[in-house]
Amino acid sequence: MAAQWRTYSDNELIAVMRRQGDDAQHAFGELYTRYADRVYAYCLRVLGNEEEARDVFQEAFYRFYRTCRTDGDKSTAGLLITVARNLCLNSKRDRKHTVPVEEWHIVALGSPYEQKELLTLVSSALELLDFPLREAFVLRQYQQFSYNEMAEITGESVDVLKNRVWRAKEKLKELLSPILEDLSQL
Amino acid sequence: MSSLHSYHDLLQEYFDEGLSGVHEEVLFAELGRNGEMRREFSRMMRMHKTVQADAAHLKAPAYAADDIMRRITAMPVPQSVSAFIIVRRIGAFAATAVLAVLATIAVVRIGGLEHSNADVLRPVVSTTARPPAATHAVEPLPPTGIPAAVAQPTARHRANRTVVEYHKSFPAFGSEEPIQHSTPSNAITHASISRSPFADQSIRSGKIASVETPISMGSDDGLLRYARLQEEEGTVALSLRGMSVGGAAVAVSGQMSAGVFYEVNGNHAFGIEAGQEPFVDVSTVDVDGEAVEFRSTETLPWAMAVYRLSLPELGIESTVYPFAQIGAGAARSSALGKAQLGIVLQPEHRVVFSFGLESTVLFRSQASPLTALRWTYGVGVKL
Repeated sequence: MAAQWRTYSDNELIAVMRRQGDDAQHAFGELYTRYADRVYAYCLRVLGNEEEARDVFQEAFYRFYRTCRTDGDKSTAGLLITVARNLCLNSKRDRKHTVPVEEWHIVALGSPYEQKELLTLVSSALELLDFPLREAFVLRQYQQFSYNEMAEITGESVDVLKNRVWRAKEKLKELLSPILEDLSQL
Repeated sequence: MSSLHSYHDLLQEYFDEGLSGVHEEVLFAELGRNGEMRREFSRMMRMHKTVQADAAHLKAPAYAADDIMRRITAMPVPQSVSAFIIVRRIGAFAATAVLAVLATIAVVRIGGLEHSNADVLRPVVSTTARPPAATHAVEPLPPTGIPAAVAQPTARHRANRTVVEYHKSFPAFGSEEPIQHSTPSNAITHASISRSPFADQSIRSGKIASVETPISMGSDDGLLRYARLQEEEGTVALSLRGMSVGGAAVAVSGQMSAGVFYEVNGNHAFGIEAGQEPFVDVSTVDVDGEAVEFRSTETLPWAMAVYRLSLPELGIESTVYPFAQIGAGAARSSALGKAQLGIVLQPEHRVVFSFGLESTVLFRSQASPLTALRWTYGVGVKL
């Protein structure tokens, strides 16, 4: 039966979920399979903390199941990210955790860098960005949302979001510059 | 392109939304000339690829799915859903009856009863009381001792009366009877269907007609319907979207309605009507190159607002006269429209019999509209 659900569109699956029948969970399972990685990636990169990201990620899907709503033209991915975003904002408000740039540089610099390490450093560098910049960067670069979709999710204008992505890249480049320089010369 | 800053902008654009052909040429020409720009390009490319790799390797924790499902299965059913389940269990018929009773109470309480009582009593009072002369000139009273209803035929169509009606219907002009399923109600999610009625009435294909029993139909989700046909060489599964599987209640109580009307005057009446009826859905499915016609029945409870135009002036002594009726409402989440033409027989002022031809259109969100043409008959009581 699992194969059958793959032929359903997102809206059809949500309609099945709304009926609250036995198959609601199957339909939910299919949507989970489709979007879990994206939502988790968003949570993790925006929050920068695995434990928090996991909690928010689970709560996002749980709330999505409970309400199983659609929102106009917003895609299911956009809808899920919106739910996750609100939870991320709540989570961020509840904690005041920052990593000083100086501290990060001590960790990041002074050793040869492999691609794998660069992955870790990029994710760590993301944490140094202000939330709006980090979020815009994650939505654009990790989630591949268009600027219009990003505007729907965040409620910001396209121009503002473009500017944020730009600034986020510049900031990341600045933070990672020594490492990127080394790797470029390899 | 005149400044390094502009080239830098182009680089950013290149890694964000991409560049148009002209701008890309400009950028790459500059990259060919400018070593610093090439290093910048290399750094940005490295960062871009790193982010892509990071996005690709991030996977949701495997155990998270189990945790979520545990929470979901332990989730209490919302009250609205509980109510819905109760309605499904007691059946659409009972739900319709409750609706009809509530509607009747509502209409009567709004004011129909007071008017109708006054109207019923008025002829009796008129036979015993001596009216003023001025009233005589406008509306002559019947002679004492003659029943008011006989002496005054128009009293049958007196205004401001509430009418409660009950209707049944049956297919007209060769419309096929709904398929009789062996399922107890619509509430079940999987139904087995005996081969005979299904094969004879539902599927017309040489290939499928020779299929061995059992044939089963399912509506696992209430949305996707499928028929699984057991063949000698295996199972053929037909996925039919937007179709529905009806229940055995179709024939017993599937085509009925109850309504409450408020007669504004002898010609115009407004009301609400609720009922349930089956809709036969026909789909054609391609199976191994052969078109298979598939019929299924969906029984839907519905409710609608109705306007009725009665024309006693065109009838025979106001006892038999034509009427037309239109209504708009909903059946579950689908819009429903009805139109009816018919004849009313009103042997005395309280009782009304009607017979007509009714056309119904059910507008569905994910499939083409369903239509039905039925004869309908009913009885009404004027309060």
